[in-house]
Amino acid sequence: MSKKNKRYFLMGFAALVILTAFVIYDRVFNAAPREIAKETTEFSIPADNLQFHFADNQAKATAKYLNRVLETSGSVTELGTNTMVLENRVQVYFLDNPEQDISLGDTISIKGRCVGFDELLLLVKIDQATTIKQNK
Amino acid sequence: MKQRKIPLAAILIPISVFAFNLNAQSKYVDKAGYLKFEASEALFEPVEAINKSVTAVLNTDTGEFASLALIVGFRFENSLMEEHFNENYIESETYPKAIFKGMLIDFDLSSLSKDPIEIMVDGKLALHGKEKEVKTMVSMQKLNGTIVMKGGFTVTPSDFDIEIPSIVKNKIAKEVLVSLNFNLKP
Repeated sequence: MSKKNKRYFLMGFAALVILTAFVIYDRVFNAAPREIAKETTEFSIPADNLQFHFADNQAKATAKYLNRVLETSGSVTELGTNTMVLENRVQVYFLDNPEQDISLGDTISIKGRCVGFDELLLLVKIDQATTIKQNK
Repeated sequence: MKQRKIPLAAILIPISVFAFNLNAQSKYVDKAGYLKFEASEALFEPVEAINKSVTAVLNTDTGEFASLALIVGFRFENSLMEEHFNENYIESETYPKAIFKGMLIDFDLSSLSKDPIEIMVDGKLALHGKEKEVKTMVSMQKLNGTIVMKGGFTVTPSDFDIEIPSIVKNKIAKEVLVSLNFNLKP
């Protein structure tokens, strides 16, 4: 290898190292936020059962469900902006999508992330939810 | 004897129904309250998170106020920061919630109108296994039957025994500014 070629090779190699380092840095420090809708469902459980687990043993249920992706279903008992309550027991916050056509009494299945138990209102809370199935 | 029992029940049932109704009416609740905290230092990446799933309950008869925020409900723009916040600093698996319980001083529902007034809140904030007194002024108004409550206060990580490692110490402000916005409905 001539001296000139060697220099080009080294420069190219250095550029590759810098690029790799940058990509790794970017992956780690600017990691994309979780997309709950695309993650695998870890638990599938009716809304009333889910709340019963928390009401019965909060610490145990928290260890099992907190920050996990789950599917739950029930009848809509309360509606708000971008949020609804299932079976008076589980409160669901949708990913920003206020245009949904949901009415009280609809039976809905959703997928979302469990954020824990609200002991003031005795509700399990789920955020970043998307609707999977809906029966009017 | 039989004649006596009937009027007693007739009196008790309406009373209990009435008491239940009264109780239901005096509670104003927000199930999707907004809470934000900021601990940014100039020149560094903003350190802030928003929780839009906060619960707030106000008893308008007594002025008692309570609010609960689930820690993993705080969303950061930077997901690595969110992970560090949950795992290293606030330890949300062990301490999954922040609860404030207190009183609105001299609260009177009838004094609320569409023009905001300042009301003192005094209570205790519990998180990360520690408790701290918080006293702050909030602005309150009543719009179309909804009580709107806005305000803020500052706390420090050391108030709650939250250790910030020295490597990031200069990137996180010593004082954390918490702001709140609740729309309480009957």
